[in-house]
Amino acid sequence: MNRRRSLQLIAGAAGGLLLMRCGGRGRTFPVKVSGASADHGHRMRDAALPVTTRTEWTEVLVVGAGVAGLSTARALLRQGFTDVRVLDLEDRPGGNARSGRNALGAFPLGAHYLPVPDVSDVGLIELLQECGVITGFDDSGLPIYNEEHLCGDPHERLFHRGQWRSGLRPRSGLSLEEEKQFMRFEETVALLAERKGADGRWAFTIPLDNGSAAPDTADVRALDTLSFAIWLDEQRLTGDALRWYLDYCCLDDLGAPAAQVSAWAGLHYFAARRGHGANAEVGSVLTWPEGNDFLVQALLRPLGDKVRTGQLVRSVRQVGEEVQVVVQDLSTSEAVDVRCRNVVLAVPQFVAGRLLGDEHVHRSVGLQYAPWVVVNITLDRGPEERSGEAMAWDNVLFGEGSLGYVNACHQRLDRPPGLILTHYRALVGSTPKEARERAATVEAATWVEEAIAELERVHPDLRERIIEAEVAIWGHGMIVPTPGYIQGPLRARLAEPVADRIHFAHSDLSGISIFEEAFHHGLRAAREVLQQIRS
Amino acid sequence: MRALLFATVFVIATCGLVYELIAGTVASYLLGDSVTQFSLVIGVYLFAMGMGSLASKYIERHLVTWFIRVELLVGLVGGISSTLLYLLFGTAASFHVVLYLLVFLTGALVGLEIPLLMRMLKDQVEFRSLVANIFTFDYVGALLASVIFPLVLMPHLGILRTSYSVGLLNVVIGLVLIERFKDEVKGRGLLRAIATLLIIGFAIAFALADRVQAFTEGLAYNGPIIHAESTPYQRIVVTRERDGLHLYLNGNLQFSTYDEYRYHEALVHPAFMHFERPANVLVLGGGDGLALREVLKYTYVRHVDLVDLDPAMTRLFSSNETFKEINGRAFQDPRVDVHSADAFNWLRAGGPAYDVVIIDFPDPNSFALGKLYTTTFYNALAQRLHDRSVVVVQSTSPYVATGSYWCIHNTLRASGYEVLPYHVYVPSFGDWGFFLASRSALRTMPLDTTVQRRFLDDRTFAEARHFPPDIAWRNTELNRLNNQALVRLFEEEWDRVGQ
Repeated sequence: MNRRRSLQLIAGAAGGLLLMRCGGRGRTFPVKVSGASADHGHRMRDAALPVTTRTEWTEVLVVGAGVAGLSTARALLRQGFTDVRVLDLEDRPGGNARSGRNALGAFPLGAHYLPVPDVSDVGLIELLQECGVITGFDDSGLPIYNEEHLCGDPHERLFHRGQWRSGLRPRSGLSLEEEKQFMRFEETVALLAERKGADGRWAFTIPLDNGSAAPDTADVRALDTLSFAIWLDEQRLTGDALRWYLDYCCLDDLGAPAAQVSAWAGLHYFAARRGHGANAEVGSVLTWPEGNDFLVQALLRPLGDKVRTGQLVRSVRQVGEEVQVVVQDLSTSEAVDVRCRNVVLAVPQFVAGRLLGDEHVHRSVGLQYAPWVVVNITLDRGPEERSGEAMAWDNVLFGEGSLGYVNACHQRLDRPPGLILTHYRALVGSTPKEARERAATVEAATWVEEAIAELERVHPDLRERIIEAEVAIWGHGMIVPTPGYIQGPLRARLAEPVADRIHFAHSDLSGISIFEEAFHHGLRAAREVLQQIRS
Repeated sequence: MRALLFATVFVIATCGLVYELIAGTVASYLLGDSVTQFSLVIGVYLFAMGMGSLASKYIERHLVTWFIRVELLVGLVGGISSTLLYLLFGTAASFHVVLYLLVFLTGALVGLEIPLLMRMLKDQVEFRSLVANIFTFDYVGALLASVIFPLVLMPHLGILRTSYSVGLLNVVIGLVLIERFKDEVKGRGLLRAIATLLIIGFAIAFALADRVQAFTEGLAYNGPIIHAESTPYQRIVVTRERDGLHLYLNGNLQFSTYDEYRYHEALVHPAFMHFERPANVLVLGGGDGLALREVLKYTYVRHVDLVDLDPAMTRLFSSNETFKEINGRAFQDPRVDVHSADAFNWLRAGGPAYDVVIIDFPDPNSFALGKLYTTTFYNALAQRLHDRSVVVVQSTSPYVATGSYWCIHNTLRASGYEVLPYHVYVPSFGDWGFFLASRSALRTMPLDTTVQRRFLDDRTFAEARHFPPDIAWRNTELNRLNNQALVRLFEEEWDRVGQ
């Protein structure tokens, strides 16, 4: 099956319903397919440019209503700048932080939590205040969190050696040597977390562009040139349990295993977070039944009708003092010529390259995106449990390639008459691109079946409990920080405006696909736009 | 005759595998974790079969007699094993030992069968085809068992009747062989009598299986079950015991009609000593209507909202005659509105403030229930109170779970409530604790003497407020959504007394 044909097969299913029967004794249940719709996205490159029927004007146009785009528009609005429009080709804003909903309740389709930020991250703290997640500050200036939004206890459990155990780090039955390796790794990370440069900045911090650039931290930045796996080998950190755990962490936050990400990125995961609150210790996370869609809605609130969905941007060109953008309405197919003074491309760079055309088509060469599959499984009641700890928010099976599942009902205060489990899988291949190409040939029902087969190991009656399932397939789920990308010259160049009126905002400009990075690229792009307008 | 013996192989192979499946099913039903249970049961069973085969070499003579004895014994042990497991589940000190002993015994007996049969047939059939045929019938029988057990036996007969039928089959084979090999069988008369008795026994048990089922599950509850149902939220079981009816939710006793008046008077009436003539009352939990019965004794109460998560509870206690009698037909009172809703959602939906709120949730023995005892819950509750509103919270045993009791106290205090602790003795529960709580100071007034009570009077309440040193206030963590301190404490403290 060639690639285009297989993508159409999945696209044909997108938004539609499949019926699936699991095993002999399970009942039939509907499977919904969602996520990034490949057919909309691929129309950008397939068909010829449409003829525009009229011309519209706006000061600033933001292309892409994911976290970075919404953050840009919100920041502009907060500066009193109201002539902004945000376009997205999907039918709902939010990018991969969107959520789904069924009779039982909401569930994430992708990104689903935010670690408690550091107080120094003023922009993000403000957003959290705005949406009631932070209710005030204590005498020492630490934020007080609304406990409803802090991840409830129990937080994590790992199915390891036949039992559910508390926490994700394997602890049971490790050899003395393995235990020593874990401790050595934790000590190394603790030292790195304390490292500051002569410029007074942390070696590792979030957003990562606020990190130290001083000469005395060059040794840390040099870690970006080799893969995390090679660095671990060099440190003789080779125990199976440790390496499984680190692969798990890399897949979870960086989209690829330790062998494919840079050592700097792998260590950043452990050494960059020091955020805490008056009632939230370091390591606390904020999460919601609908995942990060909660934050998307907070970003959307001031934007009102400035966000338009179902809008496919076909081309972006600077002509003299203005930028000309061809936009096609996906429901009417009508094409409009939108003229504006500034454009912010809040889209991944492979999309930005296509929109800009010609000499920019190759701007994303070298950037790797990991594909993700998220399966939400709705059950009529709690499934049978293996022995050990009770169900937590995050539930992981040791030794599996998937990232386990999150109980989407965990944060709910009420007790629903059922349960929704969100199963995450970052697809791994010899390279992220190969993984994506292989993923495109797999049918949606197969992903559901795979998730069920894995979870049956720990919930033997799972099949009999299923009411429905929803699969979200993210072909370009997240940017992968391959060695050399984060500290290399390409990344810095990509973030620079093109022809001074076309700006960029996306987490792939950081190399780490997390809410904070996307949010800050939005703030940066908004600053650039304002500067350009005022100059 | 050869045909008869091969048919025997087929039947005993089928029975043998069914015993194994029964043991695995009962074990996973009673102990949970079906993967572990099935794995261990199959392992022990196969090992026991090996031991049985080994033992067969010590049987030198009277093969037919021995085979018939083994059949009767397999029928007896296999047939009653599931019943025994149910019976012993509630009482055996170490249920696992009993379980694996029974599995081993059945397995060993089944392991004896095939070697004995082979030796009985060895002079009549050439060895080569003997081995081939025996194992063919053995494995085909196993296939048959594994197919009919989940598809026919379990759905149509249930676990107990399946056991009795299979046991019966083994005994019938024994009886047929007794008649067929008349002259070779030692002590024929006795064996025939035993077989006949067993057949009659199994037939009776088969007919009465429903009652046996109720009886055996009932033993876990010290009395016959008169109502049982599973809802998405919990298993509701009502039993009739010597001292009256008992209600259990997920196996935890909620009340006994023998002394529930003590608990419910202590739960409800002190709130009425701290608010003069309340008109609007909210009851959270308490779907049995017993707290409601006490509230409705006050004629000046104009309106009561009862909010229980599980509609099955309020349905049971508002429609069934027996249960309506217990709560004095409280649900039929026109002042009462019943809402099947989640307490958190109810509080957050907004509405008028209540004068008195009675919180009668189950003990915090799961994370889901633990949320209903957190700072977040008490803050949500405050949205439905006015300054003088009085809340009462049932708060587990201050004697068994001293830390848990004071953890609820400290959490209420931290959430901005004035708190008054008290505890009473309820025979079914032991020493039981409550808290009165209010956004303003609590002032005690004498009890309303126009209301009928059997237990609580002013002096009892005064004494209930005293806490001797062994259960006195102690500092604890506060119970928050992100630490679930109470559930962890509660588990630890109740585990210590083996509850």
